[in-house]
Amino acid sequence: MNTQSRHHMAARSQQLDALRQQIGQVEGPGRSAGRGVLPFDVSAIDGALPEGGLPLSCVHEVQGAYGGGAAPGFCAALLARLSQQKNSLDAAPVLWLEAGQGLYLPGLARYGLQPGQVFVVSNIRKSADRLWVLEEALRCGALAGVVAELDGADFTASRRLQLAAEAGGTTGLVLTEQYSQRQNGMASAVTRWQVGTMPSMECRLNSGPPGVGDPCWDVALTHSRGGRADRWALEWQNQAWNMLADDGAMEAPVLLPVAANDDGAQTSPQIPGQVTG
Amino acid sequence: MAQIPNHKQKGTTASAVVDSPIGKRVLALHLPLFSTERLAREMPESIRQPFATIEENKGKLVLAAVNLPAMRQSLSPGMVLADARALVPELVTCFVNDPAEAAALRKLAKWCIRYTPLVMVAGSYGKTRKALFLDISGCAHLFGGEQALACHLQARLVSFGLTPHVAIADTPGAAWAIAITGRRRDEVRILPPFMGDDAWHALANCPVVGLRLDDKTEDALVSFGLRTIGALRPLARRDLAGRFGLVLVQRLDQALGHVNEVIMPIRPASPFIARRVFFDPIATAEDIAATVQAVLADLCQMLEDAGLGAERLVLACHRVDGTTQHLSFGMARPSRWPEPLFVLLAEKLDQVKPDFGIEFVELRAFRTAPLEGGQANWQGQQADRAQLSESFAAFVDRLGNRLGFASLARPAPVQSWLPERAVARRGPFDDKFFATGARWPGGRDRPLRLFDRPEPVEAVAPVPDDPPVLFRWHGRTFRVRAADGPERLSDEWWGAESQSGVGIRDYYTVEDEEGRRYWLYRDGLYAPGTPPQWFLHGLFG
Repeated sequence: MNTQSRHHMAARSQQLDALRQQIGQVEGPGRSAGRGVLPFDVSAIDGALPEGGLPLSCVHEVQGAYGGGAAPGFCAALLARLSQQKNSLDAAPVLWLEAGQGLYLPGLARYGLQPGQVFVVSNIRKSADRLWVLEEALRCGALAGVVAELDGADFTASRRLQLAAEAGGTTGLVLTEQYSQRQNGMASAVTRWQVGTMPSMECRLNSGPPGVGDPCWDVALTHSRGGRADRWALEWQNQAWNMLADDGAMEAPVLLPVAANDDGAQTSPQIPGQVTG
Repeated sequence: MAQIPNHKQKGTTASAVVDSPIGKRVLALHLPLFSTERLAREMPESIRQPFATIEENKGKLVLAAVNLPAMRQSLSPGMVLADARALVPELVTCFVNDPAEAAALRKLAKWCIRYTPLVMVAGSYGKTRKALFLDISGCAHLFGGEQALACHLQARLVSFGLTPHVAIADTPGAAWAIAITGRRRDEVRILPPFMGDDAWHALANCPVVGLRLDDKTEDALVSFGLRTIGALRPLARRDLAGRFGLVLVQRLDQALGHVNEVIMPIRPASPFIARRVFFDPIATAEDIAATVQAVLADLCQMLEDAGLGAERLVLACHRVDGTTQHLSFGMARPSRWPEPLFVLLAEKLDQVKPDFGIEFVELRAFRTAPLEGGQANWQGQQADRAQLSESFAAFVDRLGNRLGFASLARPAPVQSWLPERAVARRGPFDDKFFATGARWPGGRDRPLRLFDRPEPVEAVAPVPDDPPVLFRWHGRTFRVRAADGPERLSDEWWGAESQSGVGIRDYYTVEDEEGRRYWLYRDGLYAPGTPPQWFLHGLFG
């Protein structure tokens, strides 16, 4: 009786595992565990993500304000960390697919990316061609990470990108800068981030040394499968994020509307760059 | 002299002599009136009237080239324009366009590839400028002998409206000497292969201008009464070299065949060619793909045997109707791996238009370079890395062939303080440069985005050397909450380009109320009375 019930239990857990695997396959890319994560080394953020970090080998979306530097900076920081994780021997190559606004490579040094490590694809006008480049770059498997400045990707395109990322084992970051309301961004991203700027510590405290100090970002995780949406104030210092203590100067975190559905019908009420003076 | 055989009158004995398959044979094609004849194709009305191209020489306008009517009125190149106008008042002139002429000559040289793959554009020597050398060794029999080849070439060029002087000899120098002394446009002169003293005899009566000397040496020779090449023979080489320079002796040796002169072809011929010829023409996409795969396998095998890889492949599909379609493929670094290369080729195969059928497919490899071993030879971690680098190379090749190799760059530091000059584009596989460990100038304090052209802003700064407290950009006002600076950047004093007009710039990193960061600069030093000019140059992350 006892052994029989134990046997029964084992069979049930096997069944459950099989079912979980099935669900994982149905749910598609970004959920199958074991491909690893990139920890932010900030406990609050890692805790909000289901596997304790940014899932690797899939495509994420980072939204930013047009003309703002915070979202590209956030991407550059992630790219540098991806390349450090990919290859401990020397700096693994990364690719940046730029859309028009000139990316200035010396500015990437702050985030830990070295000369020679960054390949830049530029002057590609057609968005279909840019999607093709991103897909091929993800699939080739030699790159530690890819940042692509895109207008967006429809459901089919983002699905293709996810499959390519999975096949190549490469993490992609799609950087969408909101310069028009009609822009939908990526229809299906494993995580979606909104990154804006916020006054740096020195400015907020009105004390400390003069000067601009380290940059501070207002980072919101607006969509994460199996995780929870949240918003944090982060400071980029010595190539690592520091969570800013809530000293009352920052308003209580207000959750941005979460684009929960994957059909691209997402609202973006706040465009951080377009505040008039 | 009798030693210069003029093969105008065709003779079987002559062609038997000149068709010797051994040794090099060079055809020199001199186009004395190319400059004017090229323009005559664009301006047909200039054919009948005296017409000359002019250029500036030592502050004077001189004739660079003349056409036949002008020549008949005793105008010649080198004449001062004022004198020429006095002789022929109705002379029409046009300035020489050197780049256009060079391009036209190059086009003609490419056209000449139908006679031989080795065609070279001759440099400009002294007063004569436009000439081509064709290495026709082993090619003449395809046209029925040297005489027939030369006549064919000449007839075609005359039909283009050109005045060709054609000569064939063993050396470029000798062919040149004979060609430029030609007087009539229908003249073809062929020197039989040199034996012993033949060369001296053949060239004895040629003027020294045929030696491809600069004007100064030529004038010096003439002033000594040495007007022909034959006149140089009794003189000691040592004296010639001492008085007229080593170039004279070198040219003489080249003409006489004592030293070898290499013909640098405009389009390098490739020894790596794989082809398939079909008795029944092929037309379906499957057949074409299978054929391309087969020729690619052959070519890769050839390259592997030679230990080389190619950076460029050209696929030529020869159709039944005699037309040929060329498709070219570039690789960012040498390769000879059939699988990735076929992926590359397959992407363009839908552009192949078979029309009535393809009877002959040819794949040629260019820009070959040594390539060691294959991926299979690597072990363990090295194998992984080699595999990764191969797959990245394949990605770069596909990107390059679809969207152009210029779209992918690996930005590299340049040691310049001017932000816009601190970055250069380098090729994706220029590993040698990056191995030196160059750093970005300016350290960490550079923006993430830099505007191609700094944007003017209105800024308010309370004290001249202080950062602004607010600035207006695109109609919006930004209040500055914190600032770093100034960092004074300007042209390098040592650079050759220091006269670029970029003066002193004082850069400030400023942060506005929202935390956005900008890179502003004030142009020039503070000058009382003149409002300072402010520009926005970049955005920080």
